Amino acid sequence: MRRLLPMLALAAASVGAAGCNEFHYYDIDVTFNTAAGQFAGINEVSTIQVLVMSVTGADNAVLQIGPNSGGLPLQTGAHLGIFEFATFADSGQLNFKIDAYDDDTSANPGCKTGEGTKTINASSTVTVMEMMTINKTAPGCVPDGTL
Amino acid sequence: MSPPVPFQKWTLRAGIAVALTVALAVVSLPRVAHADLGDEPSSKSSGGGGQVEDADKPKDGSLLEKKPADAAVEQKAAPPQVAFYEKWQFWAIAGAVVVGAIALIWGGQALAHQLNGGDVRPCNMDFKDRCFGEGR
Repeated sequence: MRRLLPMLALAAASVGAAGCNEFHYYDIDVTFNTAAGQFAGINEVSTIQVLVMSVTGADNAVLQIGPNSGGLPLQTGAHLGIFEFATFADSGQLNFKIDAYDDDTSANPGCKTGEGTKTINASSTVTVMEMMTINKTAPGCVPDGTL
Repeated sequence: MSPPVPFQKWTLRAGIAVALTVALAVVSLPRVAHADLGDEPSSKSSGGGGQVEDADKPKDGSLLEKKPADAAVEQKAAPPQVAFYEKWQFWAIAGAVVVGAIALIWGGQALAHQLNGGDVRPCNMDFKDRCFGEGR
């Protein structure tokens, strides 16, 4: 028993040293802005082939979707859907940014046509839901949705 | 001249005689084996009151009693004990220790995994693989 107690204490200490983490999920619902002066409806939105979402701040990550994956290119409407980011961060700020490209192969900087940003305060909430709108920032490689 | 004994009767008698001889030999052999060969005739040893008393034998009876040293010697002379690894208790304890160690390692890893957040939740089908970050 005298030997068992120190072993248990050591095991507890090592478990404690391992830390206690909990996943937090940030669900970002993304929509293209089709208001006046923005993307010209589905004709232009459907030309967007690649989106790159990056996270900075309390955590860092990058996700690229497309071409022909993750819901791209969009066939109808302007609502793409939810990006879910998982993190252990429960404090600080998380900066979400999306760059939209109408190049059909990769995230070619010359073909960037839209951008959206959202800053969220990280918290202990398990699932945080937010909206993000992608605004048109440049003509891209396929101006006005016409080839 | 007497009539000859029939062969069957002769054989029967001879058989009985041989059997008796063998039986006598078998019965007497062990006694011969256990006999004190070379001993002097027993009549001498049991020959009346001529026995000499042992002058070295102590008169004090307590001197003949067993001492603690004798007990220790007796213990030493005891038959050797069974080796520890031949006892079932040893293997029972060893097995329990092994099973316990495996359970402790497995349980520890599972506990550490849970404390590290456990498994990340699966990506919702509606999200179309737009899930990323820790654990993904």
